[in-house]
Amino acid sequence: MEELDLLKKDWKKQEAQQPKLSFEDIDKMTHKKSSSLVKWIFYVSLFELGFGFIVAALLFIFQPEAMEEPATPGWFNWFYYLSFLVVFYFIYKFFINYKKISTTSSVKELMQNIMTTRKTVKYYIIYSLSAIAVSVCVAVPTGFIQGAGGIEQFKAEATLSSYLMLALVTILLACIIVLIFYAIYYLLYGLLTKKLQRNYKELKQLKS
Amino acid sequence: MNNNLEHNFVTELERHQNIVHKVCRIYTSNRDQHNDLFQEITIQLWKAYPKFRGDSKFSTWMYRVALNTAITLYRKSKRNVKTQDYETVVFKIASDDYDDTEEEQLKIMYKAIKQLSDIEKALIFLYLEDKNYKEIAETIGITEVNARVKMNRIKTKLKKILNP
Repeated sequence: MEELDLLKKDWKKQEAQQPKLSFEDIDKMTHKKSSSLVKWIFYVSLFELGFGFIVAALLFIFQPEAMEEPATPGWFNWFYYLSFLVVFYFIYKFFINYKKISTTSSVKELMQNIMTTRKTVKYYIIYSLSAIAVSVCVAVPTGFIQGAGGIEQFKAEATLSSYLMLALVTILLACIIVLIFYAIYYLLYGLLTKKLQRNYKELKQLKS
Repeated sequence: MNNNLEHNFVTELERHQNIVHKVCRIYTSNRDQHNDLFQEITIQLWKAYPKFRGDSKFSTWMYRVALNTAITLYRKSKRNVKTQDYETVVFKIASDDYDDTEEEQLKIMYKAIKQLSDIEKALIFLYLEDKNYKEIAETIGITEVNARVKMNRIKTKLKKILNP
């Protein structure tokens, strides 16, 4: 291709026309703060990981009586404590993957490592949303039964339509809450990784 | 990080800054973005420098970090950019055999390259830097065969842009 040869010739001549930064200019830049994608991903992921943890911790501190409420199923306590372990596991995985991100990797490898790190957070979000859904499904009927005068009274008075209504409201609420959280997450994830996903897709199309 | 390390790094980068400027030229469209990207590449190079073992040349090592930053890490700043776009700047070659037609062709070529994807730009950049297919493949993370195939596709794509 003739034009490309012409461009190559010109490319070499360009060197003389490039701006020349002084030692001091470059030295100053080394002290500036990065605004790279990885840094953003790190902070957003920490926020996402921390958010679930803080909400769970606050519940633990301020609402211990909810756990002792007779209408709360027994397994829910186990589920609740187990979720702390799961959060710690995700935080550990996130840091292990994050450490693998290196700008000296090949273009593809760097993208893969960033995607893997983000995937850890994605799985964490899926887990968190499921946990939120389960919690809503337990908390809403528990709260309703408490308001109706306790489990015994509810059982004595409830009709089939009250059960159905309670189930419907619970499911609807769970869906709305999960959808709101998912929309926030999708927006954050989409905005952060739009360019990365596009480039990674292009590289994946080329078999390595 | 100690002062000696910083001094060595800045000296090396000052000597090889052309590579970073050329990456900025291909991935940005105006002077403000160019400066932003140059700064981000410098920061990433400096962060990676303590692990630079010297088993490859400083310049070779720079290509990877600079391209990775431009393709994956760099996020264009949202602030209002007042500087003129590169496309509208007449790029004159300081040469005895200066030719108006050639200059026009070059302007069209640079515009055509701006329309390529980030990955395609990386391949063209390394090609213009006289890197062989083995080096291109290693830097991008694909096989040598695929680097050749992709390069041929880019040439065809450029031809189409130039002669629609």
